[in-house]
Amino acid sequence: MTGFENEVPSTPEDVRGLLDGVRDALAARGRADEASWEIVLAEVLNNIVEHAYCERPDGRIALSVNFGTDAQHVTIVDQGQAFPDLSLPAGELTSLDVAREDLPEGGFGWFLIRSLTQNLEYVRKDNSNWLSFSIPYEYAAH
Amino acid sequence: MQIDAMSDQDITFLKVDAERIDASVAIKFKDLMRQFSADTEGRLVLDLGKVDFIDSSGLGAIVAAMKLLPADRKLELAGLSPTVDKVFRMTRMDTIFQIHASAEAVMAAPQ
Repeated sequence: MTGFENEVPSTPEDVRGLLDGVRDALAARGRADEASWEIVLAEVLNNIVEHAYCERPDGRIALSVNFGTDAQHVTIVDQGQAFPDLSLPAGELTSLDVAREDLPEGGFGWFLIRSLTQNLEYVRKDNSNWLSFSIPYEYAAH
Repeated sequence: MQIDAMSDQDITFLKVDAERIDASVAIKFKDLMRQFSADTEGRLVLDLGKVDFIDSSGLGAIVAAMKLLPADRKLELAGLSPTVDKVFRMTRMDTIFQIHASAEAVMAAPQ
């Protein structure tokens, strides 16, 4: 087995199910210590539910993970709205040297995704969003 | 998700009884924190000892909870798991909160 694949409805509960599936697949490969992958996938999948499908539960999300030697290679496809300007958010953090009431409560997601992934690519084709990236492993398998 | 409150001297510990603070519980978390903030005084410590994972929504909800407090009160955090700590450090939000190793460490530390 080289990978994990599943396609689910666009609901938070189904997203959690996808994360559980990847977690189990990693554990089966001696990689239960890996943690960054979950930060990345939770952000990307939540974004699809909230922004691509605008919280509609009738969309589909297809996740495919290939467990390579040094990294997980991920492809996610959905039929929701395209990214604005067909480009991925830059994910820059804003200054925290501000008054308490001006501290940011959001805008962290794409920073986390970009920080923890490599080869991040987005393509819009056939009325679908195709997002792919690699998440390097943090530990050796055991 | 639930939050259990416990007071010890002038410190209120709010222990999050959930393993994740993520998009699906962020609003409920904020509502609970709003209530506890209004009903308590003095030091407030959010015990995240049981929480294995937060996403950016969870992080935002914790920041929002802090912003609900008046200027003379701050929100302290305790018991961050490695993954939760990583999210705080990567976003530099660890500089915004006073962070303790555990709820027990809060009692042992000088003010």
